[in-house]
Amino acid sequence: MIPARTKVLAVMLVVAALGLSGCGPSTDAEKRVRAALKATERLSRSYLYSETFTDKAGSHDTTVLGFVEDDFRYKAHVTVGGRPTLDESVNDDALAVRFLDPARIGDFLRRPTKQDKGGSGLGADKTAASPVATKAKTGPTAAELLPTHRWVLDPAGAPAVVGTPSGDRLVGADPVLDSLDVLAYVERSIGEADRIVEFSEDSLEYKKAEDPFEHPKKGSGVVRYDFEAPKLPKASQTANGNQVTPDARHFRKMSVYVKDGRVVQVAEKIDVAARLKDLAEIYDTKFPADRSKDQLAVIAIDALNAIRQGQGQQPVRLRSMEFKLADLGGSVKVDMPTDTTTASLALLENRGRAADAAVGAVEAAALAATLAAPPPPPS
Amino acid sequence: MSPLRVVLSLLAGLAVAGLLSACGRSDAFPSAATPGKAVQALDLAGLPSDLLGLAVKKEDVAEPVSKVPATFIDGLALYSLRHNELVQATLQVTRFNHSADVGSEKFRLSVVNQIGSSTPRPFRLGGRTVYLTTGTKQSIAVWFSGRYMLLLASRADYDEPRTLLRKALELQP
Repeated sequence: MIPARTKVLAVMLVVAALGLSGCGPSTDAEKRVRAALKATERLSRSYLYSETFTDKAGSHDTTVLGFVEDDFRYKAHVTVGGRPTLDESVNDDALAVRFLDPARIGDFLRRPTKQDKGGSGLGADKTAASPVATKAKTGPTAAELLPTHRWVLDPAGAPAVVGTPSGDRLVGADPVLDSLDVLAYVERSIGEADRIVEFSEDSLEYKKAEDPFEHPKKGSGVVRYDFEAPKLPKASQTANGNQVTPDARHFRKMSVYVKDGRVVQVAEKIDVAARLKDLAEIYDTKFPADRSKDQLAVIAIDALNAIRQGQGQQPVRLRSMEFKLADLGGSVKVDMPTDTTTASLALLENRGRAADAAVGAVEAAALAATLAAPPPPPS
Repeated sequence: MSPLRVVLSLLAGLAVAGLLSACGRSDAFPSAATPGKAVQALDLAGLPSDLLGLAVKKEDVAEPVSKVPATFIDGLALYSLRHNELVQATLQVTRFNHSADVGSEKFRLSVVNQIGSSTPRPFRLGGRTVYLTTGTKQSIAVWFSGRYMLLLASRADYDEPRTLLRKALELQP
């Protein structure tokens, strides 16, 4: 028979645990995040998107300052490594672009494998590329204009919004579209998370040492929701004849900050360093002892991506991302620049008319070759 | 088959067969539905004869609609938007009958999900929600206004589909 004192203690512990867990059922937290995403997506807004990507060469910072009037009217200012790089404005079908740092044009050029994909159209039906390319050239081309810091306007070159979901696009390949897509990316991440909980420092499950994100300020009215990553797949797990390899979801730490039912901030870290021990155990491997955790994370992700890409899967991007929203529902107006020169922007990835994509790919290759060529020797 | 004929057959199918099944109320069918012959031809007041440089022409859809035994719509109009006689887009205006729960998001989604060949995605334009999807070589936009549903289908190679959509959103059924 259980002594009465033990029963009381047990009840007290249960009450304490429930009281301290800091969250209701995970489905409630998930519903609140989904509702906040839905409410926020409808609003005009400005935002600051910051991404730090890490590879063998080190860390690479990209920021996008964006202004969204609605889904077809926005502008973005991109900086890479702290240097102003690109300005882009979209007004319905029209796209205007200028490179502030022409040395970076190569990063945004159309890649040969995407010759069939243009932008524009409501849906950019990929089967529908017209054989008729943009009007005959009567002035300078975008390849000639973009290196001169000038605005180039493509009246029908806006990026497609349907038919090229980011699931089809590598995260990191297009910072402007990545930044515009963050709320949808969060929504997809909900489906990939093990569960979503409301953040509480007092939760018995909370591990301070594993939390890379800022806490909401007390009294701010901001509620933070944390996405918990699923367990890593076992080495013996297979699917379609392939070994199941860890995905971004298995390393993702994500928090969504909500205020007054709207998303005000998103933070994500693909934290491979935190799962090195698990990776070593599951795959029965040993990492070099003379490297830092961050260096080992790069080694691990390179090895993992080699397998994933061999299986035809997208690589995992080792990154930290922060997305801060402002002016939600405010008067955000996007004007197009006036000092533009009209030309096809199909040489840029995901931009230009679908009908111009093939020509754009050729232009992109030629421009890339020009940019890569050494400067002529001084005469 | 001319582009307009393709669009006509597609849209007539969407307006009638699609909407019926979208409601998921076959049990309520006899009392809730409107016979196809009773579906009225609508006129979209305020629709100019020229929209973004495209000539607007009302198309006769009475015959295909009359062949449908029952539907949840009671009014329909179809306009072609042409440049040099070539149909660049069509605008369909559909009015639901009073049995259709047009105000419910569930109903709207069930209708929208039957249109197009890709999953429709909601977008925000000028404070309104528009669902975008694709058909064969065409882009399709759908939105609701009171008891009305408007559907703008444009050729995939038409250069100004979003500008046209924003213009069409200004129309009041």
